[in-house]
Amino acid sequence: MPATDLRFFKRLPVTTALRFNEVPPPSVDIYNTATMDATRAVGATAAISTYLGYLAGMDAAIGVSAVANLTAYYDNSVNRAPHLNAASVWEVADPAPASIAAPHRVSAKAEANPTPAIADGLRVEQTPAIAWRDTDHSQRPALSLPWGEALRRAASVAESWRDLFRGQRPAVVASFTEANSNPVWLTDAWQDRHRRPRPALVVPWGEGKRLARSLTASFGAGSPRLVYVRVPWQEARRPPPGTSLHGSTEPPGHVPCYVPNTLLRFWDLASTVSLDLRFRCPNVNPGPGTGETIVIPIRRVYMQINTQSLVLASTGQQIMASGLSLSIDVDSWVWGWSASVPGAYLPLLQDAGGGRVELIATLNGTAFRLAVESVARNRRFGSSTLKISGRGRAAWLAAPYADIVTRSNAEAMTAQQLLADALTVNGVSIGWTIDWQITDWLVPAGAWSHTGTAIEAALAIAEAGGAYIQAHRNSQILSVLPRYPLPPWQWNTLTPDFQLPEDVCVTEGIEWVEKPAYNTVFVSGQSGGLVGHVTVQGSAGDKAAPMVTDPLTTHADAARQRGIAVLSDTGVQRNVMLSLPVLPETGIIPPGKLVSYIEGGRTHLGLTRSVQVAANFPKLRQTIGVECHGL
Amino acid sequence: MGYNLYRDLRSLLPAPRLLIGTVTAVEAGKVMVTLPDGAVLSARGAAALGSTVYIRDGAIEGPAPVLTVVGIEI
Repeated sequence: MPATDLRFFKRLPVTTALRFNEVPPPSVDIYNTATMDATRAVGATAAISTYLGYLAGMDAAIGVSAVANLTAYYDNSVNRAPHLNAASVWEVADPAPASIAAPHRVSAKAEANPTPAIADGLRVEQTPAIAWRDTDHSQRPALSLPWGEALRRAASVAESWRDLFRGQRPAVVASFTEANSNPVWLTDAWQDRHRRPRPALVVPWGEGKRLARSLTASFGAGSPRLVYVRVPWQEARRPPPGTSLHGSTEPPGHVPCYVPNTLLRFWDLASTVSLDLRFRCPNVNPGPGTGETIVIPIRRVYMQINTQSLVLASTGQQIMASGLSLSIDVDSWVWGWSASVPGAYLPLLQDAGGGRVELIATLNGTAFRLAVESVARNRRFGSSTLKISGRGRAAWLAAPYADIVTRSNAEAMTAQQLLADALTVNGVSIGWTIDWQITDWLVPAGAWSHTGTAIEAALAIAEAGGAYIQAHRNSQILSVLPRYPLPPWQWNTLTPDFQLPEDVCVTEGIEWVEKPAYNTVFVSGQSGGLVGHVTVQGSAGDKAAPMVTDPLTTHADAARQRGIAVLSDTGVQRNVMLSLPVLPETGIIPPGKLVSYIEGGRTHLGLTRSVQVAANFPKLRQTIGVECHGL
Repeated sequence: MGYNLYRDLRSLLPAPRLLIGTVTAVEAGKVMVTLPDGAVLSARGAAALGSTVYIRDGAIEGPAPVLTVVGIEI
């Protein structure tokens, strides 16, 4: 059997004694198994040799399969006593795997149980105890009556009536004898119930345990973001030295007066005494109190050279007039005039064909277009004068020249459109334009119905908006002006149009007028619209003006403007009449201008309501009426 | 004297206003009408209780619509 094992049957004790001729016990098995591989035997042979001692049992085994040349050496000089190997207390530790470890590990996310801070309290057991128990029937004392039952006495039959002898009066017989009083002790039918020990006051709920609860907010504090504010304008500065080009200094939104086009708009008719051409800026439409103040300075002497002319509008023929007078006020929508001319002009002032005769009066460059409506002649020896009068050219819009037309609106229109519609004939304009200076409002279909001339319709529309009509002095323009652009108590916020010192006024007259101090008014529509309850702000609203009904009160804007007109014309007023020359700075001051008149250190601020111009060459005066409020 | 003689003349002449009110009481031959400002006047004519009527010169002219009241401060 091929085997490489060397099997020794006996371990020799480690000793220094030399043993010879010690025969191992015979055993065939041992010999058979003591085989050695040939290949291994080569290596083993070189390693094992001995010079001393013996190798027991080796000779036969090797001899079977290979040449056994085994030599065993045994060195006796070696100390083979038990000993400890020199060893270090510490062994070299293996380097720990260098793994990047955080000092703290990520803890597992704890479950956030949304639990209330207060746990459910345990319900304390409580025995329903009744403070009162039933009364034992046995403990009830016996009913005892303090009085025993009385014995009924025998009632003897007695005659009911006897003679009235006192001695024979029957004794009074009582039905019951007097009862014997039972012994009385303090008894009561009812005894008190025994009070059981009152149960201790227990609260069914114990104090709840406070649970820890972590508040987890879904949103943290926001970090501010940078917001860049961009200002389109930079701070102005003086231009740097040198020549540089700058952009336009026109503020945005400003429309310049001159818009390049081919239209030339003249403001006035060509004057006969001046070569100036007056152009009109179409964008300038200043209302009262919005423009700049024209200040008349205080001078020692006011020098004035007046011009006056009166010509026929058709031919331009000069008419020598004397005593020309013109006037207008807020309640007159057109200028009225009168003049005296020589009687020789009669054929010129009367059109044989039935046409209309118009004159042009020019006073200090201000032209008026006048219609001749009335001519009267006065003659005496050596003289013949004509007294002519009339109105402005807007008179053709009124009776007796204009037709009476019934107007209505079949569809919703604004008040301005209604007025424009009134100035048409069969939808064609009659040449008049509108200068609308109040707040427009919408008039529903069918709310407007009027029968009359064009100017009557215009007056009705304007009155509904608290406005008045002023016809232009020479152009075909109807101005719709607010009777009070602001209530009088707000006039100090406006800029006066004219500032007149008392030095420039020739005469002055002040008349104090007291009117009811209304502070509220009801402005009502009629078939439709609304009822505007207009009240002065800050007032009690307890003094109501008479109610105003107007079919055109269809919007709050109309009611408001009408209410301002009604409630402004109240209280103490001053009518200041000022007579002054027609200065080049002022011209003829029309109604509706805010005038500041300074007299004796006091300022009268008011709206002009009327103007009368008296031209008696070479004198030219205007007398304006100013409505001021307050004492 | 004001600025306009015609206006002064008009103010002298009686010019009955057109009023709108609500009938608050009906009596024999007349009705009591309350104006929006609270004033009560008696008017000739007949109208149903609670209706809105036009009044001019103390007489009822006819029924009037019920309009919305808008408060305006100036």
